[in-house]
Amino acid sequence: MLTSVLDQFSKWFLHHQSFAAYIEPLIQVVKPAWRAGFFRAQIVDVHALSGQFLSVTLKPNKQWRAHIAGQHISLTLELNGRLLTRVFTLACSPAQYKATGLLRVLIKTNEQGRFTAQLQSTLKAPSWCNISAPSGDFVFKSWHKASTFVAGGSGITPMLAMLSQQLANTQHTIKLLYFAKANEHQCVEELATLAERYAHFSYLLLTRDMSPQLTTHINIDDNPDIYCCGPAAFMQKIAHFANQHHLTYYQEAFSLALPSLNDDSQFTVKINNDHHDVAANEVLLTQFEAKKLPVQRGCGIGICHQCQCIKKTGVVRNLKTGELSDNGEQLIKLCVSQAVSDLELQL
Amino acid sequence: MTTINYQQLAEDLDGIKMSTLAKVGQKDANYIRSIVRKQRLCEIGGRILLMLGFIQPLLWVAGVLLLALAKILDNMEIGHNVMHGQYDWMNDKQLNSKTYEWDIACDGQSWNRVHNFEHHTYTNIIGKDRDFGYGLLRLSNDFKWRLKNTWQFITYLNLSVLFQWGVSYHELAGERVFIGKKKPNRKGAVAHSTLKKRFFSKGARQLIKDYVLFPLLAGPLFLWVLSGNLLANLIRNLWTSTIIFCGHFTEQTHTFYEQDCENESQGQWYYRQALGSSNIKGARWFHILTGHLSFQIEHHLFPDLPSSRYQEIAPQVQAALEKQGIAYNTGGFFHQYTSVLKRIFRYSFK
Repeated sequence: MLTSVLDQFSKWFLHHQSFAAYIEPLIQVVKPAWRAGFFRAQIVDVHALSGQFLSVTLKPNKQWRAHIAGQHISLTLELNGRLLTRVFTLACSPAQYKATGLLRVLIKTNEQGRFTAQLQSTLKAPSWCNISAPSGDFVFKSWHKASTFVAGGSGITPMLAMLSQQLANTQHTIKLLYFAKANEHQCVEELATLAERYAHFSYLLLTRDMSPQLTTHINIDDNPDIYCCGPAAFMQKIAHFANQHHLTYYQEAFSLALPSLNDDSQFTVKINNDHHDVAANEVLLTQFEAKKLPVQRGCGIGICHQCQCIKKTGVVRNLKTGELSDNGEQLIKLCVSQAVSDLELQL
Repeated sequence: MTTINYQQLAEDLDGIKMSTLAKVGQKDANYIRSIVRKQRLCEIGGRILLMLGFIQPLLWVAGVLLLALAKILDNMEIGHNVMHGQYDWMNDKQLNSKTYEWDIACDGQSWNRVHNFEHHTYTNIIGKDRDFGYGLLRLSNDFKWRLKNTWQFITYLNLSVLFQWGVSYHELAGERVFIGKKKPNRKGAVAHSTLKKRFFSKGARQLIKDYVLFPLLAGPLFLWVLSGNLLANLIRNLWTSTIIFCGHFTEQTHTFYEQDCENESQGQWYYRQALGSSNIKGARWFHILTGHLSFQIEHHLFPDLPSSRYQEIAPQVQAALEKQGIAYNTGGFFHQYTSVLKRIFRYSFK
């Protein structure tokens, strides 16, 4: 009650969206990285794993509500004065979080990456960052039948969370097929411990060389539900296989590559009184970046709202959902938007 | 007179801009956050002290000064610069040009459009830059003398006292929205009804805040708080008006014609921005209180460069301009302000 009165007061008279936003700079003196609209988390531990992976352990503040195994969070860090946000799946189960108060993410660093390249040198314990509430619907649903998890590279993270959460809750077989480059399989000891404790769980550490056919080890006689997370082309193959054999298929939508855009149309986008040509076969964000327009790239997959802008008129397709927008004014995310007509935007 | 090498000028100034932008980072983020922090302390402290005047009137005086300081920091160093997009690179929701709103009657988003587009693109072009004389004052022979110009010094004083309302009316182009004056070939980006709504909504909220809500919250000290707020707003108005007049209306600042900006090259644009502006010398605290508009030349050359860098680049800019024989108008506060007053007087008469 008091909060909502203060927020309304701040909106009308203190020209800030919430009271928290108004006092944010003062609170930050005592609590670094305290930000209105974000959860705060302390970086407890950072260590390098094989294959350019970083394991980062976070301690979120008390208000953070536990996730469901398989969900992701967006992680916001201040890097050289800039707040940068990326999305990562939690590689720990809610039970582990409740027991220890700690969260773990596995981050594959990329030397070319604007975000992950800087992590190794800038992420230091103890420092502070911001995280979002957990979200995502790539969660375990197959308590009453067999399931097979297929992970590619960093796609292992949601699997780790799901396995440690769900193995105790089902008697049915769970099999993990874990593809990675040779010697870059992560958390192998953890998998071994789980396999020892739960007879109905087994796993295979695979490389593409060992098993060029991704699906060789999926046993269709069990009629398992398939859970898949990995690079886009990888998931496409597994999805195709599951479809062929009428297996229920779930995949982590966030690493989903957007469908290819086979549309040669050209449209005009009016932005703040200037006109720009855009092609329909690429998302707007990439094209705007190439034109050096003042756009903000965030997760690049339609989750974090960093690239959001106001569309005044025109129709765009949301590539994640396939939905067409209205013709009128609304907020769109540039990273997953394809032009379907001429547009007018406000950046 | 030496001929100006516009190409060289553009290269030099672009070079300054690029090398400075490359350095922008944590230091600049920390700087603007520390200013915001000070602004909050001044505002909260000021509003509390205003209610303690019954203990000791000097506390009330301190409250007025702190609140005025808070409003000045908010309007000048934070609001003006943030709304220019100077700190957009931080990705901070609270310091973003798309959402920032300031503690002044003028609606920020309306200001943002008119100011950035009309004033910064067409600086001091007669007939295009409505900020030149604000449609009230005759400040060059480019305008026909009218009888009302005789008492334009009084008009100027009135404008200064009511500056926030002047800005508010001016920036939504009140004469177009309310009176219906039209200019050919000028399309409004925003509907007049939207501008009107924002004008009244923001203005009303500012009035309610300072003259109804906070005085009421003070209960029996209603009048202490009301008069304190009034005075703080007045101090802010006089300060901002004075600084802004020093930026464009000293005797040395040039005016230009519409044909000057047709097919203008980057170098020529820089030239016009430099000659249309004037700086004020002063200490670091003075620059912060002016929102770095004391570096009006640098601001006009690079409106989206963080204000935290203006002091650093000023000598480089001065050198680049002087290399081409272009005047770098600067001077102490009293020198520049006297010059403004002289100009207002001089063009009062034919």
